[in-house]
Amino acid sequence: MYKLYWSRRTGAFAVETALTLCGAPFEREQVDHKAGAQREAAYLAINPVGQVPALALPGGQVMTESAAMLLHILDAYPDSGFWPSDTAERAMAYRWLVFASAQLYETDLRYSYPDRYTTAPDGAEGVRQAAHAQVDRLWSILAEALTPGPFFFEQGLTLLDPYLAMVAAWHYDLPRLCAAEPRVHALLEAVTSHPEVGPVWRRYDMPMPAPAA
Amino acid sequence: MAQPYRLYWSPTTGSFVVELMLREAGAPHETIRVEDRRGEDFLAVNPLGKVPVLELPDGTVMTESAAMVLQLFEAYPEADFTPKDAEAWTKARRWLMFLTCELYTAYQQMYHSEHFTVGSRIAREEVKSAGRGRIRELWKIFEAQALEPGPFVLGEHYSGVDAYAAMIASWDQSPDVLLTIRPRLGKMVRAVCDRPETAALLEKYKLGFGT
Repeated sequence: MYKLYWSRRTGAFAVETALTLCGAPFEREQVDHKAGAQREAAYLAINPVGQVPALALPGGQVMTESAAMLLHILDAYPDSGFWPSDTAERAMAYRWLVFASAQLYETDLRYSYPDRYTTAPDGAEGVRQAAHAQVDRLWSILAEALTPGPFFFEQGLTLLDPYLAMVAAWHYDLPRLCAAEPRVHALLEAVTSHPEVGPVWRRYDMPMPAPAA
Repeated sequence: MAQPYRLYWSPTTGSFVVELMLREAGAPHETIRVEDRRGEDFLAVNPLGKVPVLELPDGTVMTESAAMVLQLFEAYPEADFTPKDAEAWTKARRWLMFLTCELYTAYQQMYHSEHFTVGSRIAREEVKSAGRGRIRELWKIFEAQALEPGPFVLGEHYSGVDAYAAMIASWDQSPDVLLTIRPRLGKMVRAVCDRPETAALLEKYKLGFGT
């Protein structure tokens, strides 16, 4: 059985979604993010970077990095159908999954925890503003690729979609992102109303997009 | 008719690991040097203005070096650089994502601090200084966890993840100091540098280590 270390509004959402969709048996252990439990020795022994999620595999091996966990789960459940099978589409899926984790997710962290990115006591505001500008630029690039939508691939839902919706929901001004990028808004609506993904979204208390006008 | 892989590259960038893997796989490829990453021509290829960009034989265009590594693993399952069993795959993906999400961006913070703050030159120095602290911490974690037991991330077997890590280590302000204070990292990087395709390519990319 898998064991997922989770907290609300973290990347654990994408991992729980993957486990649920693929039908993998798992249990959860909540890490009290508000109390800073992810920085305490017990959790650092599991994930030394102090980030949630972490995933213990049935064999005991522990993984970090949410995007790597999705790829692992896809490998363990090769017939799940939640990843493209065509070579060119797989290349695209890797490209945008890495883009979402290495660029978007990382930039979200910069405005959520700006203090970590500067040694100046009054430097946080400058870091936050730069991250806001960068994340808007990244979303406009991604929205270009999100066509025709609402999901990334024509085949329907893949594990890329909840991951993208998750990082979109962390945007510093979600209504503004939805207004500026209608395709991202459509993706969010499709993911949050999906019968299996929607309940996980709500359990993780992820921000809900406003209904489309 | 399939075309060769086409790699857009510049010295000292993340294209290094992609070209190394193409060479090691014996994949037909051509390389196009990008002189102006902010020029209109290149922005049409990658609107982020970043190298590498890789065009696959079927014409699919990829960005994100770690995604290219994943793609080449899949395209060349028999190559030395590709993980061979389930446990190796899991470990390789985890540390590849760690390297690209954490360390790659920490070095970006050092070298492109202007993207990390809207503040003055002094503010940029403070961002670099935080980046240096992050880098030290991350290599410590990488050595303790990824290179246990070593010498490579996958134990006795070299993989593309080692080449990726060696490339990032070469970006350090003092790579020789880094490899001395992190001896297991040093040993792995030297083993990567000893591979036949690596030496010439380090020179092409103007990357390298003093010793």
